Amino acid sequence: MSKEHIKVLLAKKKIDVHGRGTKLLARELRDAGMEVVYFRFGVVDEIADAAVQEDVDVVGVSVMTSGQIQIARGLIPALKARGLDNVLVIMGGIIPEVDYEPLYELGIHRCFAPGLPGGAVAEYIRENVGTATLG
Amino acid sequence: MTSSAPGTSELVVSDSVRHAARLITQIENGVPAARAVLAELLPHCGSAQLVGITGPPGAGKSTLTASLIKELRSQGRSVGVIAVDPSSPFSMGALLGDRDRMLEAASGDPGVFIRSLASRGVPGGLAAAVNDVVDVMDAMGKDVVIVETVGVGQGELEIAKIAHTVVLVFVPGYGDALQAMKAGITEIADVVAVNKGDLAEASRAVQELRGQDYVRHDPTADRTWVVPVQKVSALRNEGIAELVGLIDDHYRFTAQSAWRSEIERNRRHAQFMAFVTERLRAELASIDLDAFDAGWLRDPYAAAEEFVTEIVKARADRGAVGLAAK
Ligand SMILES: Nc1nc2c(ncn2[C@@H]2O[C@H](COP(=O)(O)OP(=O)(O)OP(=O)(O)O)[C@@H](O)[C@H]2O)c(=O)[nH]1
Ligand SMILES: [Mg+2]
Repeated sequence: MSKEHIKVLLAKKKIDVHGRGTKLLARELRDAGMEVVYFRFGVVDEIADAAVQEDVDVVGVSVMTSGQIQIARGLIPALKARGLDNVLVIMGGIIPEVDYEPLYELGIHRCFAPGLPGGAVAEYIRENVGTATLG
Repeated sequence: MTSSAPGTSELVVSDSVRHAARLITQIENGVPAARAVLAELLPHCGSAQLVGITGPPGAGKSTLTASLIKELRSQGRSVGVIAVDPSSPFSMGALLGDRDRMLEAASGDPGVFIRSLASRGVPGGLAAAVNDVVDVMDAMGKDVVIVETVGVGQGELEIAKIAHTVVLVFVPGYGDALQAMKAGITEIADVVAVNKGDLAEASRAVQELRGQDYVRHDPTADRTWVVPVQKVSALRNEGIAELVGLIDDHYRFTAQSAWRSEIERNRRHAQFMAFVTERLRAELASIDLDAFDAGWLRDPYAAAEEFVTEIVKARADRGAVGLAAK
């Protein structure tokens, strides 16, 4: 599905000092024509609150220092509780591949390895935006 | 009252963030259905205090907005924020980074609603959309609606027409940009905030600006408002309560004459103009060129003049005011 204006929320843990990756991805998505709200979060509810206020199509969470499972476990229900049941949720950063399956089971739609070109993320978003559900 | 499920407008009035946020997206996208909802919201509008925050890139507008949110919340006033960032003219994408600066001031607080908007490069279109988004937040019951826009350019002058009070955020040590900002002060600022007051150069900038004695003339009465210059540090939360006091002073000042209603009138006029323009453009786009007189092909100027005159005359003939047939 394609959409004229795709809005993406890119959230990064406040305590993760390695912010370059997220900033770079934010710029790459902007260059791919998307509107990117970039911010650093402390607790998962801040992501969900921002997602509903900004009415985004995509939520992307960058995790550099573990905690991805807890984040997913909190985030997906928080999004659903706010009525955001067809938002596309992706994760990136330093996530061990063994965690991908458990994360998908929790409702994350896709995980991306670090260092992946932003074009691949943009392409995935463009192909899947609007078709995802949070079951 | 009907017993059917509540409509979007009722849900927005009852402060449903989800419905308000989706309506704002429709406004941004120019979805015609949003118009009907906005019309239903209008009776619930008119009580919000509208504050514009503008100034050069990096002046600290978002950080200052965060401080204002904190101060207003401590006074028990609910806050809506509309943070506008420019779209890239090449990709039409945008980086919306204002929210990041405001997160701590708003976290978990249902009394704060922040919405980031990309300017999308539509001349005049941005101001029109912002005006409508202001109405949404007003109808939700926000006591204060803050609009953050970058720079002192044409778009910002448009935005300035929306707010009751325009705060120009000034920073010390800007060299040439300082002159441009001074022009901005005389044109749009009701209150000047010299931010980064924690830096040494700030005091000199404050002194220099205070010496200029900027005033704003009440367009409806023989009175002037002396533009106050307040030193603040958004980072250290200094001078913020004073700044809110000055914004409120100006807001009250405009109510002591017809100035306040003049501002409201201008807002509604801008909305009327934007809607007429948008509707007419859509109507024109749907005209089947083959179906009407091909005069436009021989002489597009004369044909266009005749076309418009016909519309205007039709209104004038039935005595409608506001348009005079030439
Ligand atoms: N020293 C000092 N720095 C400040 C102050 N307020 C903001 N800053 C810094 O100035 C930089 C820009 O702040 P923002 O609030 O993003 O400025 P802005 O005007 O919203 O920027 P744009 O929206 O990009 O135009 C940040 O690094 C802030 O930390 C202040 O009072 N003192
Ligand atoms: Mg800003």
